[in-house]
Amino acid sequence: MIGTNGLHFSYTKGGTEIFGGLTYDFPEGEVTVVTGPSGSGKSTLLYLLGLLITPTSGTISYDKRSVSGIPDRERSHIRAQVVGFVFQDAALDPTRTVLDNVVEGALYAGSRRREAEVRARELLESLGVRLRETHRPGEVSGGQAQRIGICRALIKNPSVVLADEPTGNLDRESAEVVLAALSDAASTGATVVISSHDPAVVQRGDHVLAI
Amino acid sequence: MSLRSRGRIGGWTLLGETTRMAAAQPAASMIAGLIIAAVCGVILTTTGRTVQAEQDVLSQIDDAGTRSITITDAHGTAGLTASAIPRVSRLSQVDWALGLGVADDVQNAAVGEGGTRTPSRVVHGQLPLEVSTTGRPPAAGEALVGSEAMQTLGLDMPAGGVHDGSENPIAIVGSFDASEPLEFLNSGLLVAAAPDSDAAIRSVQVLATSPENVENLTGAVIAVLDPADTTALSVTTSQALADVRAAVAGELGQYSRTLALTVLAIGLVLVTLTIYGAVTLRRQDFGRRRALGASRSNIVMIVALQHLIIGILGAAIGTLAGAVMVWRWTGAMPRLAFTLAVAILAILASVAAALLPAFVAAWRQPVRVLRVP
Repeated sequence: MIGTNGLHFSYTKGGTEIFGGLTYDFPEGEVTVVTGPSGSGKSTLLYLLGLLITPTSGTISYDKRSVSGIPDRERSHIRAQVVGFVFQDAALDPTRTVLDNVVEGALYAGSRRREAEVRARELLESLGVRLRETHRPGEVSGGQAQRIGICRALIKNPSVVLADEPTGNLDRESAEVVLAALSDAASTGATVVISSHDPAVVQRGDHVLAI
Repeated sequence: MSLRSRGRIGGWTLLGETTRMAAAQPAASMIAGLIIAAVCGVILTTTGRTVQAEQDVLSQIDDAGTRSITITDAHGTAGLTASAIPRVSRLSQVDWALGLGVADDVQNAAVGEGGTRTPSRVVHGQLPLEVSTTGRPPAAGEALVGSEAMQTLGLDMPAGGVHDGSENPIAIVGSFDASEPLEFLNSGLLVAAAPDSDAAIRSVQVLATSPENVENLTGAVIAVLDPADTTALSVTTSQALADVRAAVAGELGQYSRTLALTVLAIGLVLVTLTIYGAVTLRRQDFGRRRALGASRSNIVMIVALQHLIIGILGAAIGTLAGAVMVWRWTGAMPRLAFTLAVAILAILASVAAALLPAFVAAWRQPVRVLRVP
């Protein structure tokens, strides 16, 4: 389980602080949707939870252990082992094939490439993009790219999945596939946190955190 | 299925990521590789030729006898004896030592008193490589005739004999041709001394193992010769030539090092700028990797390894091309040690050039590039 305690954050020293001392626990095995107006800090909260940035004050905890102040090396290790990121624009590497993009999600955790490729094909199959595995990201649609991004996030069976506006650029049908995949991840025990201002996504959440 | 994890990225996987990144930026990789190749090629074709020229000049100076010491007892009053020659030969820093007796005039025995007078000297000690001989080794009292003396004496073959006015002529059993610093001997004959001879000698020729030793060695040789009167001796060394040699070696060496370092520094700056540009273009790539769990050291390793590989390829191409050009211009390949040193320096420069951009990439905040406006 991950959580925040008295969280404050500001991008610049002395700048506007957001979250106002947020204290919240994100339950395991359920989907929490973080919602709020543009600029409220939805994406920033996900980056904080993913240990890409550190809070100005307050703490982020993983399994009740504060990880806000730990060295970058340990934070990278946690991201590699525990966290799966889904980005709004999928953020795929245009120079790699689809299969290779998915495999990349497991490399920094120390997985062997051959094993990762088998797992990647399973995920691509389950999300209906297996036929695209030899294509480059520039040759697939936005909906397919986002599904590939989810495959990359899920390849290492993360216990935390952080999805930043994962349906922001998708049509309704693609969005449904993406949300179903995230719900499935939660059903296997992962803590899933989605940032979105889309009411349809908010309705799919087990919990809603408005900021 | 679930994946097994080793906890951190493996070495081969990291190497794979390195080659992927190099391949993902073919233009930048090629430019960096070509700069490294150009650095090697330019150093080899400029400094390499200078080093070659330096070696040639030094070799010529060495040939002229920078290492020789000549101690002469012009009037025979210093009391030099042949028994000291083996002791001088055994001194450290001595290549060889020869003792020469007084020069007596001899004439071709077949011509008689009308023949041209030619100097003959008794030689003590082993003839060095600078004296090439034909015929058999002379026994005590037998002579080798110098290449110029053969003409003076009117000899077609190194055979026959010469006489010095005494009843017993000296048999000629072969000839010799001496190079510097013994070239002056070619105009006369060398008569082999009896083993363990303690005869008086008039000059001592010594060759030091290196030009730098000449100054110190001269005093040591005189001490071993133990003359009765040191003031009767005149000493001729090639110290001035040794000083010229040192100056030439120093000046050309300094010039070569400055030139090589300048080319290397320019290459380093150009490669750094190229890599910095490439790293800036791929900042989103690095941001994604960091979000997926790459540590800062992973990023630094990927960039540094990438440019180690590019450096190795560039250095291989550059040194090969440079060596071929030097060979075509001078007819000789640059020295292997120098070529390898240039290649290794260029590879190290490639990795060094990658470090600053690598640290910039590793320490860039991933959120800055991952945020979608």
